[in-house]
Amino acid sequence: MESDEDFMSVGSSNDDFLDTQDSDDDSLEDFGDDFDGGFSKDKDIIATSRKPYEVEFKVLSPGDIEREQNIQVTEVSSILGLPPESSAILLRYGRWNREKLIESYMDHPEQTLDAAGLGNHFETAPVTQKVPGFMCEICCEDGPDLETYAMRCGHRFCVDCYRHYLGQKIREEGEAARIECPGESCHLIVDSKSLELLVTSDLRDRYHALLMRTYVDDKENLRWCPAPNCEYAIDCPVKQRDLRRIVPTVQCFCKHFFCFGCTLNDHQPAPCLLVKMWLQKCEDDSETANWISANTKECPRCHSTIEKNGGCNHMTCRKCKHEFCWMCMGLWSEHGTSWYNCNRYEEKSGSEARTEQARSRASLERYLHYYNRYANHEQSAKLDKDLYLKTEKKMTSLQSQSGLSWIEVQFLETASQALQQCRQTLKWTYAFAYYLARNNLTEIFEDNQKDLEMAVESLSEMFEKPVPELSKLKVDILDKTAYCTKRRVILLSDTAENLKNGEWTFNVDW
Amino acid sequence: MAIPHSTTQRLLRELKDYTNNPNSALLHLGPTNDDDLLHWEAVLKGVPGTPYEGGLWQLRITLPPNYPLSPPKITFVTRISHPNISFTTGEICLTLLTTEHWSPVYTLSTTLSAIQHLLTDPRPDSPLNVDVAALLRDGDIAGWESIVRYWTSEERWVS
Repeated sequence: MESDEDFMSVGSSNDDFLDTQDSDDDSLEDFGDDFDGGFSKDKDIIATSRKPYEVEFKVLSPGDIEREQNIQVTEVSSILGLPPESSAILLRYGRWNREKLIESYMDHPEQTLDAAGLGNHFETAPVTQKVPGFMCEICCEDGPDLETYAMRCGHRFCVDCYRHYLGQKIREEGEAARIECPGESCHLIVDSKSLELLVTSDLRDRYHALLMRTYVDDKENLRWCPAPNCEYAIDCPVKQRDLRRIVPTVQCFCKHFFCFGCTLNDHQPAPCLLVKMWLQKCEDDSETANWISANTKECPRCHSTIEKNGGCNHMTCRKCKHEFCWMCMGLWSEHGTSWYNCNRYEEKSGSEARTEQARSRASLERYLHYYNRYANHEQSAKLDKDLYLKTEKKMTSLQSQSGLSWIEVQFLETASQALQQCRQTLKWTYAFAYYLARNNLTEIFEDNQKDLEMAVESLSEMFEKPVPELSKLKVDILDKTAYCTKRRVILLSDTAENLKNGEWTFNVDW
Repeated sequence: MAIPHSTTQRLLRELKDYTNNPNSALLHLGPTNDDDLLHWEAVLKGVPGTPYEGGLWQLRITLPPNYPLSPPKITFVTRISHPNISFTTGEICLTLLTTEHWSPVYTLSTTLSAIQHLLTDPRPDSPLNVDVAALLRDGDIAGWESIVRYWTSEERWVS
């Protein structure tokens, strides 16, 4: 699936290019709460209200995340009457489950503080000191000028060692929320005030980044955007247990479409669990085994695997020299004179081998049917992507050849985007269909799938036309683009509603 | 790789401390070569009154350049039969030696004492030597003791 990832990210970088054109940084803010999951581009075609397959979500910037954290810390701090840095440690210890934490603190304040690595008394601002006659236990340095530091546990070390220790933890081990005092079996957590005092500014930034990471990791309603170098997080109320009924595709500010449930690329309409099974199946060697059983037979005597790649039905096993008929798997000696034309089909000796083979061949064929189409759309999306890279050039040449303005050739970009998105959806409809049991609902699904597929293929065809013809096709392409998008919305809405209502019947347990 | 001054100083200090206050758990502790402070060796003694009584084991100690911020790597060179020590590689399973649980305040001497303590306090639930751990877990103390005694005298380190 890595290749898929590539293509998606190439997509987003291209989007960036186009975005710089109407560069309007505030537009990101405008998306805000009513951000509709990436369909804003088609506003003129489709109404902007939320569709059955769309979920409510919010994109958070690093600043937003920090603000949210601080609000919670301040709240807890005022409820419990503890300093903010201690409340922060408590919250991190309690995985940001505020209610549970407050309850636990109210019931057993001492125990909760101890468990979180906090002592039960709090001092004012931490300071470094020079202590006469002190020798640092870590570096064995001593001297009257040595700056030292100790938290309230009293384990005192020189500032250099403390700094190195924190650096090691933050930079090398990626620790932040649970760095303990360097002292032997001391579990006191190094609080952010002590940290601010001791470390250099670059480490401080890394520390805050790590703290933020633990915040997002701990909260069930938050997830990082998985796109490379993207620092936004998504806030979405969909819970893990909802994933059987909802496919929560979200879109980050960086334009990356992904599934909030499993952070893979958008895989609507297939639910996460089926996607996981499907990917596993495609990767799995069991399919190789399946091919072997469909295309080979075993010697009835020694069970060596034999592939027949030509010749007659009279087989002589190379290994055990057993002679048998390839058609019926029965003994060759029983064939009498009917060589080369096995008419012993009803004979019992070979019937078991035949049913087993037929079953596994049918299962393989079914899998390959879906897999080929799935892989085809993946491949085509890549080819469309290549075309899309040429679109930019096309648009430029269209502008000069036909005298169209930049804004007038935008239809190509829109078409290309729609094509990408529809192929992504189509691809996953095949994985989804593989797990569907045959019934009326499945037939309707397949009709929708067929409609979308036909629309996509014809748009894809138009898209390949030489540049001079493109301007003449503008209206057609616009129409087809709108049609594709509409078909996609219909398919996704239909599937999502049935999923929500538990209407689908699957041929697997998941 | 250049060793930071603080690491050298700390190791020299540990060496001096050990010479002044030898550890009763050890027969020997010091750098393998005088000119390389990052490779040490030690000889550990068995605890009297346990099946390990009378045993001597050589251990290899490799120190990371950022010691004592990261834990030393310690392995048994002499083979030993113990649930938490690999019989073939000499690797030791001890939480103290992992990055999460290591404290820069531990010294080589205290760490080796902890290893000696591990001999008398085996943890059969996280075994590196499954065969001997199984004996302990099944409660076959007599069997366990005789195997330990056998290997302790059979493999005893001689200078």
